Amino acid sequence: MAVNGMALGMRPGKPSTLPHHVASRRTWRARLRQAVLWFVACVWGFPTLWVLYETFFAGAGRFGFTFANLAQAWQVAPFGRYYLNTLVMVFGLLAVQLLFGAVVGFVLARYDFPLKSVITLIFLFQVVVPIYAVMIQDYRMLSSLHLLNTMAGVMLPYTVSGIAVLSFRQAFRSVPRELEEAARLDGYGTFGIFRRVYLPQAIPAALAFAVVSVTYHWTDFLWPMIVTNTDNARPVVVGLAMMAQASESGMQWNLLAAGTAIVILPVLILFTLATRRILAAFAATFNW
Amino acid sequence: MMKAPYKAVAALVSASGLAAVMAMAPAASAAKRNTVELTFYYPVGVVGPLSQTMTTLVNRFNQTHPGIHVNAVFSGNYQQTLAKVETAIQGGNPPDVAVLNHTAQFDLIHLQAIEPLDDVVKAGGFYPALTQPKVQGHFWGVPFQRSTVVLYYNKDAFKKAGLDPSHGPNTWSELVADGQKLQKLGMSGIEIPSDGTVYWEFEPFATEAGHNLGGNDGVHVYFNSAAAKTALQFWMDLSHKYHVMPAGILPWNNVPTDFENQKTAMIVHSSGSMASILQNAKFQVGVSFMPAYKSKYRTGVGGGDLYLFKGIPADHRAAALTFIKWMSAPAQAAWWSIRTGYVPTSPQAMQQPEMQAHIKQVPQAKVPVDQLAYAQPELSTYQLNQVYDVIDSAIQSVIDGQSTIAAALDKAQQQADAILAPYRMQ
Repeated sequence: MAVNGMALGMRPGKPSTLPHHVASRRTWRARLRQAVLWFVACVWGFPTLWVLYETFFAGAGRFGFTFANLAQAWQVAPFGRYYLNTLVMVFGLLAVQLLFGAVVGFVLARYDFPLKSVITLIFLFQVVVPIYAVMIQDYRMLSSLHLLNTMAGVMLPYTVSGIAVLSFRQAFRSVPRELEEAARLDGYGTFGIFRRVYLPQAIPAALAFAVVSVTYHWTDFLWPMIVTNTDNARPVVVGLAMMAQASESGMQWNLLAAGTAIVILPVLILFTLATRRILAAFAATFNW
Repeated sequence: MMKAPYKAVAALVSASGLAAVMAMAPAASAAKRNTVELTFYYPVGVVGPLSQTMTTLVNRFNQTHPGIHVNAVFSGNYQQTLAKVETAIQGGNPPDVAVLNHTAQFDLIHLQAIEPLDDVVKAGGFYPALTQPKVQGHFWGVPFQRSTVVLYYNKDAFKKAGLDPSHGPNTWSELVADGQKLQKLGMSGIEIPSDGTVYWEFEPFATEAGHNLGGNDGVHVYFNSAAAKTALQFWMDLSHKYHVMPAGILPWNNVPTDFENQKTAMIVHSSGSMASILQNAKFQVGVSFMPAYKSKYRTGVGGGDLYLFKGIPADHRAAALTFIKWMSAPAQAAWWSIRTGYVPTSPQAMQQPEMQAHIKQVPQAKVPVDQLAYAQPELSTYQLNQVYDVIDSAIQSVIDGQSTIAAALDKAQQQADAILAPYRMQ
């Protein structure tokens, strides 16, 4: 955090008791680092800033501000319904993934049984194999379960996440055995220990995984597009896709930008508010 | 310390879990008795509220055809729609009707996915350029949303440069001469897009120079013909010899924007861009034929057809045929053309009062239709995406300066021959 504060705004301009040449070298280094960080931040941030500029200022005249682009884009698709679907699918999926991840991760971290390493490997395998490699098989299965064109069908192939399982496993493995033994002496059963001792230690892991899962599923497009047919089951990116296609015409950038803004704004706001916690959770979790 | 966030997570988990369970309930079935429910996949290929336009059109069909209910399903762009169709077919759940690229027909036939539609095509009276050639003796797709390659020019700039604003350049040499005069106004003479599927803008030039890029059988291409080499040499000369076109690869989506912002006085683009260009340009826009090589006008066609799928029940098949006929009939073709910018697909569609009124208002809209008399079939083969990749990257490697024209096109020909060889045996 200290590094971040330094880089993103604090100026090392206070009078210093250090010898002059040392202080100036430090100032020089800090400035260089600041400049590099600003440069990288601008490169990464530019597309988003451009989207926001096109959305709220394009076509509004000099220094004007307008909601016209957003309003026009909102007309193209039933975005209200799509938002609701996206929220249900993204957070519903997250809930199920966290549940399975915690339980399976706990078993893998704390119990020994035959073929444990093979089972762990299967979860790792699931991280590596993209859904598109097994899409037709998944589609057939959903078809035979009559789950095509439902939100459940969109979610089902993702319900057990290898990343979630491995993250929880790693978090649980770092809990000292002594804590568990102390809890047992205090009269807790296995479930009590799981809930009172292990789960609280896994909150950073859960948060970090939540970020990965939410960003992935918020923008996942092809799979929902393929298994759903009606507005009742389609996510918000489908609405964006309705105005982002211009293989047979020129592009209307303001409309495309406004559609993009509709999709990204909620996530962008959420993540801006939670940046610190997310960074901390990431640093603590993805070390498996 | 940990209690509060833990509770928050627990609350989120349980609330969302409930929502997930609710989501498990299958979507309510809207099927009514004695009504045939059809599934119709369609892509969107031009910018704007096209999906709503399609929904409106399909709703009209549903209102006027008791006993049939068509569910119109937006399915991305053309490639994504094809992916959805292929997945659905392999999953044993084909759509009844879909709009896919006209050029997808060889791969669809190879998949045994579609049925011929000879009767509909023959009875429809479509412009021949949109249905030719027959493949394996049949017509497979019914023309629906089709476009041509046209040249847009800035009439105001033409006047300023002392050129006749009533028409664009008639020949390649006029294109160069006009471009050089326009260049003096401080804008580029012309821009031709060259990223992505550049074969489409390139093919008319090759055809004018003497040969199509593709044959009619889906297994032969002519990437290294003298005509293709002449055409690519002309493109390179526009940038490097005559200096009327910016050098390097020009993105498809930026070229109309450059034209609207008067960075370039002429562009080659799809007739499908006309509506947005006319709307955004603050000057008089002219639309003209592709300039001829010496004397021969040519252009390419693009866009999507309606296809009927195999393996659907007999009552679906009959209803789907009714739907395809209705969608491609003159009244609907004119309605769709006016609202999307695609060409009206038949002379009868052109004669619709609504269409005539539209042409009076936007005379430029007539150019792509008149051009159909000079249109040649679009490059279409088996393994189409692979073959497109081969020719597109060959052209782009030349524009990028990484390869000579002869070397790139000869290599592309070899690669395409290797891809198509297995299909020649059949």
